[in-house]
Amino acid sequence: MSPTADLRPSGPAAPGRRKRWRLPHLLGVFATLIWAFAVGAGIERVWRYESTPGATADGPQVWPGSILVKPRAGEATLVMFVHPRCPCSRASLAELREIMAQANGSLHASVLFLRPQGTTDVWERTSTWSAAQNIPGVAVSVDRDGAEAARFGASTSGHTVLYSAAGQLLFAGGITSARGHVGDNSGRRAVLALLKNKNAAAAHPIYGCRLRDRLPSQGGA
Amino acid sequence: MFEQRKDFAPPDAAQLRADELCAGSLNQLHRTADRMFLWLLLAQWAFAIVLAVTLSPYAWEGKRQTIHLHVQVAVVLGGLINALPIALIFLRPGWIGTRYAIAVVQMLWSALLIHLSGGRIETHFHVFGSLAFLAFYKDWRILPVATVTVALDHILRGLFWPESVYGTLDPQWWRFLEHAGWVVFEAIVLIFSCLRGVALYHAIAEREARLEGAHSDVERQVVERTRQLEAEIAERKQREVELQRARIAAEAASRAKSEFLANMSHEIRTPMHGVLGFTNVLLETPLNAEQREHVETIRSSGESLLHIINDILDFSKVEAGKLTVERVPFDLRSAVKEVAELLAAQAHKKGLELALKIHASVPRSIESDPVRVRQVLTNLVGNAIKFTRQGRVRIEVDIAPESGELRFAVSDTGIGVASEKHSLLFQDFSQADGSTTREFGGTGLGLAISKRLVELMGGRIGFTSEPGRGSVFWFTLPAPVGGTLSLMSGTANTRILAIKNSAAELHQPTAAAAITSSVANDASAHTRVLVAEDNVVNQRLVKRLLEKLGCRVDIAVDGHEAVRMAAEQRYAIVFMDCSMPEMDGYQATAELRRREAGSGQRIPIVAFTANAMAGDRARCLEAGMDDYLTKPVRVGELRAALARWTPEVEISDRPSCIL
Repeated sequence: MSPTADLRPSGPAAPGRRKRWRLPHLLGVFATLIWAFAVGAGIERVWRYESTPGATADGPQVWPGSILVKPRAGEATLVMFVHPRCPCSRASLAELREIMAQANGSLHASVLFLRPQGTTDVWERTSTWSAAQNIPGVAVSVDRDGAEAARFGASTSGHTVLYSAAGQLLFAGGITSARGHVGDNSGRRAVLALLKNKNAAAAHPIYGCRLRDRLPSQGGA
Repeated sequence: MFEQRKDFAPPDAAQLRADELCAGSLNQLHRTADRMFLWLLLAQWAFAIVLAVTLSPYAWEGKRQTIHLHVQVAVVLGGLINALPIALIFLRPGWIGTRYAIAVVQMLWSALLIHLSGGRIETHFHVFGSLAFLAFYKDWRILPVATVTVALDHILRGLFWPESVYGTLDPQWWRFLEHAGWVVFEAIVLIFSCLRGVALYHAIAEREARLEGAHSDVERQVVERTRQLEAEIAERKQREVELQRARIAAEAASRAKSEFLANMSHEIRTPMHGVLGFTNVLLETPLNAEQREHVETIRSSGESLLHIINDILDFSKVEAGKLTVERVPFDLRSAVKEVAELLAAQAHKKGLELALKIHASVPRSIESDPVRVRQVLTNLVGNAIKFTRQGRVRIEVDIAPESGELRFAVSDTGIGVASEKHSLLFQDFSQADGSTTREFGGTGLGLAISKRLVELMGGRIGFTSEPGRGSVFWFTLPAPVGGTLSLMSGTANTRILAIKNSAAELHQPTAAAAITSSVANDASAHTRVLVAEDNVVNQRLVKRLLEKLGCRVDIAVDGHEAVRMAAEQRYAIVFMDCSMPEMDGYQATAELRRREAGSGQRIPIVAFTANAMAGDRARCLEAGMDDYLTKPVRVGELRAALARWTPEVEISDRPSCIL
């Protein structure tokens, strides 16, 4: 294609000559529309995936007792259940770091990493485990076969529960705005508000991997 | 108003060419940028896949893993996004639609990355980098498209999911303006840059178009000039051809004229030969005083006529530029003496003293034209005798001390030349005055011809004169010493005893009787001479003259007979006429020389011809002849030739035979 010929499609139409739409042009326009629709659908799919929360379940309203987490007197207790290999949960730990920083030592927090049955002893030792360990004031433990998660009704990685010093459930849900998204969100705001004895939502969607294999009757992401 | 007219004026060819060049350059730039974005799009796609596989390869449900959606999105959606621009890059490189697609897709990649990174502020730099990269196209139109794409993404996500764009749940209303403002700011800067860049491209294209125009003009001028030169060359060649034709025609005419002159010379000299020769013979017969006077008048008139004819022929050759001189070694002293010998009788008849003085410094042999030297000297001496009523004529040859040239001086005690007539003397047909012609005769060409001859030989000619007391005519010649003397010049054994070759001046009258007194012995009766001559009158004349000189003469009527007779009889010398029927003198001479080859013998052959044109002598010598005599021959010349070529033979002398 010569330079001159290349310029013709983008150049102004000659006076008195109407551009004739031929089959290749129509096919091009049609293909472009198909492409735009497909790209839009793909983005929508991503968006939908990112913003679709995991399964939630009502946890115990009163501290149920735990083998791994021992509440401290006079301090609220926060427990987060994390699938050690869920990429989305890094954002939850990042939000937890923010909460811990703002709680200013008034919060007793633990992160329980799932170790499913039949896995090795180091299955949970991932970069996410290391990230949790690096959060000041946070205790990291292994939740063998999800026993603790089941006790607290957690089924999605990133599930966070907050109990008052009196053992009353203040918050249960996620602390990120979407899958793997770090940043300001309603869950984190609610936790921080509740720690300051302010009114806030007691629940927030949880964005993360499932802690347990899905049962045949269960749906969702 | 003027500007409006200018705007609506149709663009000239240079402007159109500039637009074309600029469009071509920009199109080339667009194609280059398309290829760069092709690699960028592929790199972004690959980076997205690597990032997804590295950071979120799987989604988990307990200990069960599945491929994470991010990986699927990176592979499938990334490929889908790239599909349109990559297809257009291959199908329509350089097309503006391709650039639009690339701009939109590049911004989609920015949006996707920002989205996937959770609105990380660092990811926003992808937008600014992409805009800068898009500016490489120098096409400002794609920047608003990219900007609008980013703005739409931010507006939509800001409305429905603000924290994915702004990182906060409750952004201020102006956050959109803040984000969009920076993008618009960069876009404006880049649009300005693009416009400046395109203007620069236009300026370069205009310069290139002007340069092309100049080159085109130069090429056109070169082509036009080449065409003109070709036409001029063709015209010149045509002119040269015409000149060549004219030259050939002129040369043909000149040859015809030369042949005419040669024929004239031959045809006039031949009868004159008979007239003068038999006049001399008649004078030897018993005549009374009146008869002798009449015959003397006939001889004198004939000689004058011959002299006039010679002058006219020479002058015609001068005019035609055909007068040539030779440059051969010859015996100068002998040549001068021969002239004196020839003119001695004439001087004696007028009772004049003819003296010759050759200085010892004069070389015996020089290189010049002996015939022309004799001719000039004869003319000057003849004039001196003619214009001197009493007294003497003196010939002096010397070396000029200042120039080293040979100087010939002929002084007389004649009538002299008035000073006001000096300038006329060497002009054609000029004599001092009309009375001179009437009194002394002559054509007035002798000095003009002598002047031309002397100049041709590289010398000068002049005179001094005092009216009533005499004149000195002189001429100079370069004096290169000659080498081996030619046979013709071999007159060392001169028989002129009365004129001595010494530095001493000779004052006694050079009477013919005195000159020839020493050669009075009878010739041997057995000296046989062959004369090849077709003209009956000439046959009789030459036979008579040679017999008077004591020779036995046989006559051959043509070349064949001469060759035959020379084979049958041994001759002391052969006088060969050049122009004869059947076989001419040149052919006969060549045949004789061919037969002599290897025999150790060589018979002297003297050319005997009425041909007196330039080159005739050389032609005779080239043919194998030894000497050259022109008709009408004088008995003195015959005697001299006999003396030169048959020195062992005594030649009888009859004073009355001297012409």
